[in-house]
Amino acid sequence: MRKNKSTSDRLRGTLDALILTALSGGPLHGYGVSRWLAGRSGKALRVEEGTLYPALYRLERLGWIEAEWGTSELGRRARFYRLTPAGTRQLAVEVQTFAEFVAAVSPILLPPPAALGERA
Amino acid sequence: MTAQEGRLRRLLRSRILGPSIARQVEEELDLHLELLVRELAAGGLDERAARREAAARLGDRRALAAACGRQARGTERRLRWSVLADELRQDVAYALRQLARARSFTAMALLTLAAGLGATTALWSVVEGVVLRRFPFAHPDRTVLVAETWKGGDSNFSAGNYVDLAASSAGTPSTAGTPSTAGTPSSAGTPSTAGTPSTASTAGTASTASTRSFSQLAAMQFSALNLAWGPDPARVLAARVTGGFFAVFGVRPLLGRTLGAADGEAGEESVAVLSHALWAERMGGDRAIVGKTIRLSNRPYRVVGVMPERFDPTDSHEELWVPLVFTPAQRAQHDEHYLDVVGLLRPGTSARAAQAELSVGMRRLSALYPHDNVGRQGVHVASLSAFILGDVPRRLFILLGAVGLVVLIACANVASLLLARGAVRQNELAVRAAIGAGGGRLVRQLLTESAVLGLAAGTLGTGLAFVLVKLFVRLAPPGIPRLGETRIDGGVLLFAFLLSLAASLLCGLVPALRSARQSPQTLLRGGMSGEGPSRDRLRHVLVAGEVALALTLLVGAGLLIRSALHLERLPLGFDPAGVLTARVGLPESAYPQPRAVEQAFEQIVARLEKRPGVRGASAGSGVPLGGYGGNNGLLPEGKPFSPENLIDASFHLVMPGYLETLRIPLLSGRTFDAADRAGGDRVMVVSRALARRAWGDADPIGKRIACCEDAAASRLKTVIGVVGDVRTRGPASEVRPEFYLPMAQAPQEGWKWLQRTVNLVVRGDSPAALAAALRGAVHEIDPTLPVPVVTLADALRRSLAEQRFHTALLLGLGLLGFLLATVGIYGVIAYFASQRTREIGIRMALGASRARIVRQLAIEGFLPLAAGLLLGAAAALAATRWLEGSLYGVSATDPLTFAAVAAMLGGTGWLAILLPALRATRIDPTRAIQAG
Repeated sequence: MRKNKSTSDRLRGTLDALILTALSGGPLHGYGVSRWLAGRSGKALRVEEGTLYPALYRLERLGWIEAEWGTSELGRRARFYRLTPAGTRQLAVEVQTFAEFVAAVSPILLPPPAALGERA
Repeated sequence: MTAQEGRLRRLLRSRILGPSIARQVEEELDLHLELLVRELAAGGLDERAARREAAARLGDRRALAAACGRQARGTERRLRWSVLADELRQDVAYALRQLARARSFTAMALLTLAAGLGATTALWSVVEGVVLRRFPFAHPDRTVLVAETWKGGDSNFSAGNYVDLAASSAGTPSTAGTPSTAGTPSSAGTPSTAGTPSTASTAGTASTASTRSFSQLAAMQFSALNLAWGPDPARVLAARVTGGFFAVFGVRPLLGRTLGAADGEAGEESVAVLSHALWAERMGGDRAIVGKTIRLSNRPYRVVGVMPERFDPTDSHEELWVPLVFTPAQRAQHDEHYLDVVGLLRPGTSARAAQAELSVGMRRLSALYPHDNVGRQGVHVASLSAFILGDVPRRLFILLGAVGLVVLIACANVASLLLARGAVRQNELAVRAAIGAGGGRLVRQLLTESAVLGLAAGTLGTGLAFVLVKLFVRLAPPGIPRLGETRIDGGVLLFAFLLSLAASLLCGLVPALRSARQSPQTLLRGGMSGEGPSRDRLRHVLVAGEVALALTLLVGAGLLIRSALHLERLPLGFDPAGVLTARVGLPESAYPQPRAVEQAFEQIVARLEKRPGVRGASAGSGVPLGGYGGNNGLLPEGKPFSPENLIDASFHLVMPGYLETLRIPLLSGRTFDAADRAGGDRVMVVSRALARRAWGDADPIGKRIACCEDAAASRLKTVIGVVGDVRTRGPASEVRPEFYLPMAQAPQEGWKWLQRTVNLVVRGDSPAALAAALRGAVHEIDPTLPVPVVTLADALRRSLAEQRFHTALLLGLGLLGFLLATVGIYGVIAYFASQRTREIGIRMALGASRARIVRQLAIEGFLPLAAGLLLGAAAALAATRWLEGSLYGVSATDPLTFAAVAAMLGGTGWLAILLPALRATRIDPTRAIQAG
């Protein structure tokens, strides 16, 4: 578990977690992942194609997801991605890291109302 | 589907069956575009706007595709590696199964290889520990030994020469001194800084010296002193050293401090630094030793430091160090050469440059003092580590080469076995090839098998090496420096690992290539006894190679054995049987005058003669095999004074009866008797070699020769007798000219040269009685003197020990190689015979006589044997050149040895061929035909 990540690392790690989560329910192709994320975040999250596909290929290189050709809804063939056992483990790690990050930062950036105006 | 099958499938699909990566990414992005367009159109945009928007979202397609492509190639690499790893795992499991199944093959191969690899690893560990390991000096590559050159060889320095050379060519002074923290005793365990050199070396004292080439220069003189500490007095070897000595080596002391420039100056109390061994053994490792006082030859010395373990910079095994400071008289003395000089070169200076610099100074000194420095034109600067190691690296590398040959023989045996097995496994390999394992994969499998075998043998061998190294260190004779510090460390283990891999490659490559090359169809169709003729030939070639290697090894061993025998039978010139010696030194404080020393020794010898069991007793300055003694230059009367006319001869100061006690034969004239006293005619006894050098074949009795004294009047001595030559340094040494003077007529400086020490010699029947006699006689005169007793027979054995050890090892290796080669020959013939059982049976049934069949088999086997013998003879002729330094009385191309070894190998080889051939024809023909 990498504790002290740089900013871009943290963003990348979060994206990884999002993609891995998207695939945890079953195989999807790239467009499907983007739709799923948009849907689950109430259209708030839209991952750029220019970011998504390199991320997918990177995750495949790292061995956390694997790809197979299947048939898409258009009838054409598409590359479907799926979690590997290592990917499942990595997903748990990424979620944990993110939770810790949030837990550390939230009290500072989003303090409970009663604490506003107080000095530490 | 297992994970690895999945990986394989994915790899095959993507690379072999699938589209290229670029096209694959294109296809994926196209699909995404289409789906996006559909989504946007469903949201209300028209077709063209939707397409524009979608394309805009996708952005720079080319960059995107490139980024994805890079990652995809990474994926492919990863898959390929994991497939390889899977295959490797499979191969290893398969190899282990196969090896377990063929138990006798595996056992033989393992044992053979393990023996060879273990011996090589052990020997490499010794080479690494003794030769290659860094010496424990601060700058081992710059630490040198400096010697005067005299008649082409090295010689010690005289004090005068040393002081003048060191002081006159001084360049920048030695390191500006931070005053040393000398004197502050360290707390136990924390070493203090070594005594730093003085800030100013006044010309003439040269207490620490440096020159343009040297940053440190120091002189040493060895002397044996009587140490009084505890109940028994002991004789210890001490080194008197000038101030810069410890700075040359840069080793920090374990306790206290080292010696520095200020020590030993007049008025200062005497100090000493102890060696670790002396401190641990004699003083019990007392941590509070610094500051205590010991008595050396009746003088008090305060201990100021203890050196760490194994600090033995010149491999002289000195036990303590005391300061050496030259008196003005010594500084003017240019003719007595007894100093060893060590130095530390300045960074960037080569030994040759230093040598040139000092040689210039030496030539100047020769001009200034022509008589004292005659013939000494130069200086020799050589690496100290090379000097310490001496001849040892050459011998070790010979052994390493020999053991390498044994490993090659072992590998040839295993390769032969693998070839045989390859024939047996043809069907299995054919099936594997048929179901798709490519040629490369098959070779990889077979190589993995030999690698597994090799590494297993290597592991066994390393275990064996541990034992062998311990044995080697225990049994090796003294004389191999740093042997005690040999151990098997990470570097040696790495070597063992690489060696095992190399061996497995050597054994397995050709059999693997051979097995894998044949196409499945030919293999499957091959029938029962499909033995390719090429495999036959290869095994015969291996046999020839093994025989050649074994012959080379055995010739080497044979030559060394003949040398050893020669040395044993060589006449020594004296008779060591029944002789004991003891080296006794008198302290200067109790016996300051030469006359007192002489009287003391005369009394001791007189008492000795009266003791029971003593058949003869005497004393001499040196004793054969004792390693003591100096040389002098002698000038026969009438010859002009020049280096060519000066004869370098070994000097012996002896009492009457010495030559008789040692049974050195008198060839003409007489030996010394009581009449040869001080004040009488100055007489000398010469060895035959000296007589021949000085006067050729003329009778030397009555002629005169000059030596050993400054005063012209006492310089000439009359020759009264000629004795036989004595190999003073042992059977392996050359005969040198020697001369004897009576102790009663010792030169003025004689007792000082000898440091008041003589060797008592006694002859008798019982060593115990003789030892008691020696101790008793000495202690009657002075009970404080230590009397270390040595038998000459032991000394003789020790002088031959190195040669014997070397020979024994090489003989052992030769026999091992011989055994392996013989087993190899037998195995090959037996195998071929067993393969042809059917054919033999048919032929015998058809009436062929046994003799004919045996003859045919034998001839087939004989050809490679003969080829191997010839090849081996040629190889041995080339290889034995390296043994020349160890051979005595026999040449490196001695025909008798070659013939004997060839006969032995050929004869055993014949047996190894005939026996299986005969056995093969003893079978029942009918059964033979049915079998096969």
